[in-house]
Amino acid sequence: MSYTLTRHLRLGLNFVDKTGIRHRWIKRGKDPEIASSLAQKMAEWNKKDPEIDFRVDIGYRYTRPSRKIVLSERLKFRKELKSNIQLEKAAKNRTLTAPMDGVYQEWCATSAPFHIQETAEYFNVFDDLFGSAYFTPINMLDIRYDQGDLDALVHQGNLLQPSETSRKPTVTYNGLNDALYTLVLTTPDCHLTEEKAEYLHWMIGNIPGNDVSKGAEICDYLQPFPPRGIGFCRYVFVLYRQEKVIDFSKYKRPENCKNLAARTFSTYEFYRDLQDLMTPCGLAFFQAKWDSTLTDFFHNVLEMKEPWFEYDFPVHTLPPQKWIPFRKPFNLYLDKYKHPKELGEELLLEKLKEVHPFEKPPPPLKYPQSIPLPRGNPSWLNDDIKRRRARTGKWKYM
Amino acid sequence: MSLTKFRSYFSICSHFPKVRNSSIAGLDSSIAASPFAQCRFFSSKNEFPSNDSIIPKFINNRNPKNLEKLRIGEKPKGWCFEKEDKKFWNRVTLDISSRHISASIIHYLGQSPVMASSKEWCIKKYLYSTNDACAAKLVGQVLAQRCLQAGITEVACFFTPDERKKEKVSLFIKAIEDFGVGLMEPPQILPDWNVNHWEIPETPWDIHEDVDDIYSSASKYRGYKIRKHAHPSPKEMNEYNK
Repeated sequence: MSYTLTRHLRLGLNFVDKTGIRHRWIKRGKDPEIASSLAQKMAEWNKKDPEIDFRVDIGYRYTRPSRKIVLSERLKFRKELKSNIQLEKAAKNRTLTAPMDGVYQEWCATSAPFHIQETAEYFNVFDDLFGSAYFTPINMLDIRYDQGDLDALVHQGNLLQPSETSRKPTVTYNGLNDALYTLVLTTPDCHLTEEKAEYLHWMIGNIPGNDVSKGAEICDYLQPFPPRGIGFCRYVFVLYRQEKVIDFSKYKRPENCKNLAARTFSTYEFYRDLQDLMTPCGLAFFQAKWDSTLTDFFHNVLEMKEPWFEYDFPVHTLPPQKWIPFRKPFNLYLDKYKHPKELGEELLLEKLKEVHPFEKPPPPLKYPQSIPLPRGNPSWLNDDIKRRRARTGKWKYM
Repeated sequence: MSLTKFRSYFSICSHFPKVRNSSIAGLDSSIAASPFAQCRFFSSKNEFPSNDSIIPKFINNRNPKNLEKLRIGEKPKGWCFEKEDKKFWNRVTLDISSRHISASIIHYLGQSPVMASSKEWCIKKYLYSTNDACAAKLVGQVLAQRCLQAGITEVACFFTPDERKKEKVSLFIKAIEDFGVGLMEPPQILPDWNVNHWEIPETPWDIHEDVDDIYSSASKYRGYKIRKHAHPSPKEMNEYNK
């Protein structure tokens, strides 16, 4: 007599007689014609209500020169290019090269603000700094960290080392002479205590025109310090334009402030208070990861113990542990439910039994399984010994 | 084995006090409702907790591309039998039309952080023809430059061998590689669940360019022989402790 698998599942029988069972497809959920695909389900989950989840443009509108004039100039230029025989030859011979600096300069003057905005969306900069607002950075920020012969530039998310960014950068931008600007450097990522707060690394307010040195330093420059193990943190420069002088005394930090709690900042709160007086017009950001110079920085400058993190992997989902697991190897079953560190400790203790404190370890055996197993051992123990010799299973990490 | 590593570090590096905390949470955790006002503005009272007292057990890094850079981030897996494999973080797309050549980097969530096209004036300005081989090369160079500006150092490239034989595609690919952007994404680091003790073979947060980490856990998994030398000599220990 053969029982179906469904009957066994329904009656909750643990002794499954698999002889004579014909495995077949059991329908779960909706019919395939009706059920929604993963893409459809994700669209449903990520659906946004336009009345609640809309975003506001808080920046300036990018003013283009007249398209008619620009187009006529460009067409003229292209016509001249097309008549250039040398260029044609170079193109045919595949020797045509373009100066990357020239391309970059022209890009800064034309499509850079929109590209930077796209990259900022990719990195979620607007969401994490301003919440439900965004802006088009019409002013290009040229930020350089002096490294002697070379300069480390800040673009839109490029990777820099904290050792490179230990000193103040030189900031230049093409601003209006009669307007005032404010520059703020914050990081939304490695705040130690609060979930949605930032650290203020640098703030210069009421900069007249393009001269950053004449601005009032509201918060001294503190170098980026992404803690060890946290990965890459974003460091965002935002440039605001204002008409009048603003009183930043509320945001003033003491000179050479090294207290991290004091440097806690929220761009959202800051901008909400001053939104009528200033508008964001420039954006640049970089990513930085821990490097060895930060150990001294944490100890000597910030005067704290250096934090060291590791990624908290989601726990492997196991079914609830049973008191009596039928038809399962009890030792492997129990090992699955132990905390990895607990198991690691057991493995360490086993390893220490093998290791001699003063002598070198013996060379590994060529045929470890050839040693006869002791008689009278239960089968599970022999299997465990074989695994230990072969260094499989948990013994792989002993 | 994280437990042993923690202990060994603690005993050896006693005067480099390293507090090894548990974790950074990759998942969204509940929003901690904390009184913001006391920390936000500097008050004359000077009542801020010292830096040492605020080191947390768990910390959240909100950078959405951090996990991808550490190679832990999720790739959409399981589409290998489809025509277009979706197993990537960032992918290069190349569109060669009769008039223009456009290229962009596309993320698996649909975002497009970097793009370059011969339609742009900054590129068109230096080209004789906007859809020939030189245009493909320049578009590749500009795309690679913008990738590095955006911190994208490796992208997935799904060109078939037939497509790669074409001159424009091959010049485009070569231009990207020469500029320094890798055209093969590293595989995602997955914890080994088949084993009844999960462990991560390489801890990407422990691998640093400038530090020759003799305690790197990666050395443990290379084999018995190399493990013998993984433990430093007393001389090396003295130098490290200085």
